[in-house]
Amino acid sequence: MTENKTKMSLRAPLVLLLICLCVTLLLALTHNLTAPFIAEARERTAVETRAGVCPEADRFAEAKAPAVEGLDSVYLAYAGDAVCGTVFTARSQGFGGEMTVVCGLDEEGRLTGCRITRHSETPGLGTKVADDAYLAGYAGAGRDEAAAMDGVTGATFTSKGLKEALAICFNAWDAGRKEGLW
Amino acid sequence: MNAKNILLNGIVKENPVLVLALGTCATIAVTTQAVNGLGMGLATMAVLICSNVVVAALKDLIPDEVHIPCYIVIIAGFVTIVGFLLEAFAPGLYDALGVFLALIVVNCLILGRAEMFAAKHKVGEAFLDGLGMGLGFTLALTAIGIIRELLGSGTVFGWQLLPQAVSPMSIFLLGPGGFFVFGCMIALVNRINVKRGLPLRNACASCPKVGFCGNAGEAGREVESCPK
Repeated sequence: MTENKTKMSLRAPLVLLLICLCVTLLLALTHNLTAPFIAEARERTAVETRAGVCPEADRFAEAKAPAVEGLDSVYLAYAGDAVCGTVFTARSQGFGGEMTVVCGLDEEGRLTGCRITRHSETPGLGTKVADDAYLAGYAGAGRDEAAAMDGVTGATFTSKGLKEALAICFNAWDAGRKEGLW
Repeated sequence: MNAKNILLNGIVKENPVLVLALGTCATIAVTTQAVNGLGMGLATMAVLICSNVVVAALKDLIPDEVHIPCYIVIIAGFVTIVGFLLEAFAPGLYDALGVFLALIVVNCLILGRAEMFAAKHKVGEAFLDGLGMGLGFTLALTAIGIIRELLGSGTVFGWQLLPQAVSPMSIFLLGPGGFFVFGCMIALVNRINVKRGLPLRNACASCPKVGFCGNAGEAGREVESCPK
C-alpha cells in the first residue's frame, strides 16, 4: 500500500515536469525560428510609417534623440543625400492608456504628416483621432497651429493626448536645432 | 458518435458560443470588426485542434491529480506558438487581436473540450471535435462581427455598405451593443434548435463540474437528472 502511494505521488509531478520541459523546448524552437521574421515585420511596419509621415524621403537613418521626456526615437529623412526632414516618435497618455505618435517635421519645423501607431482609445469615438482624414488636417501646421487644431468631438482626452505627443515632437525638434543635430 | 456527427455537433447543435456560451469574453471584445472575429476564430481553432489532439494522445499518461495543470501548460504552449507565428507572418492580425490572443489560454472552450471530450476519446475523434467546435466558434464570431461592424461602423470587412450620410450606431462597437447582438443570436439559434426538436440546453458541456461529475454525458442529457 505504502509503495503504491509513493509510486502514485512521484509519478504525477514527474509527468507534469516532463510535459513542461517538452513544451518549453517547443517554445524555444518556435521562438528561434520566428524571431528573424518578427524583427523583419516590425522593421517593415516602422519604415512604412516613416515613409507615410515624410513622403518626400527615400531613406531614413536613426539620429541621436535629444533628452526630451516622452520621446522614443528620431530618424533623419533623406531625399538623395540631403536631409529633408526628421521623423519623431513620441508617447503620451490618451483616454484608455498610452498612445504612440509618429510625426514628420520639415526643415522649418512644420508637420509633414503624423500617424498614431499605438493606442487604446474607445472605438468609434477616440479612434477617430487616428483616422487619416482627421490627421491630414495637421499637415503644414507649426507648433502653435497644431496646438490650436480642433479636437475630435466627444474625445477630449484622446485629442489632448495627441496634441501632447505633437508638442513633445516640436520640443524635440527645437532642442535638436539648438544642438545643431539638424 | 460517427465522424460526421462529431464535426457537425460543434457547428450547430452544441455551438460553443451560441449554445454552450463558452469564450464569451473573447467574443464580445473581438467582434467589433468582422475580420477580427474571423481571425480570432481561426487562431482559437488552431489551438483547439492542437490541444485536443495532444490531450487525446497523452490521456493515458497524465495522472488524474495533475491533469488540469498539464492541460493548461499544453494549451498555453500552443497559444504562445500561434502568437509567435501570427506576429511573424500576419502582423496586422496580431496587432488587431492584441491582448486577446494571449487570453485564448483561458478561453473556457479549450480547457472545456479537453476535459469533456479529448480526455475520453481517440485522437482522430478529438481532432474532429476540435475542428467542429473551432468552425462553430469561427462562424459565430464572424456572424456577430459582421452584424456589429455593419451597425456600428457601416462597413463589412472594410467595405462601406451604409451610405455616408447615415450615421452608424457606435453603441454596437462597445460592450452593451455586443451583448445585445450576442443575446439576439442565442435566441435565434435556440428558436431554430427547438423547431428541429433538439433539447434547449445541453447543460453538461458548459458545466464547471464536468470534470468531477460521474454522470457527465454528451449532448441531450436531461436537465432534471443532473445532481447539481
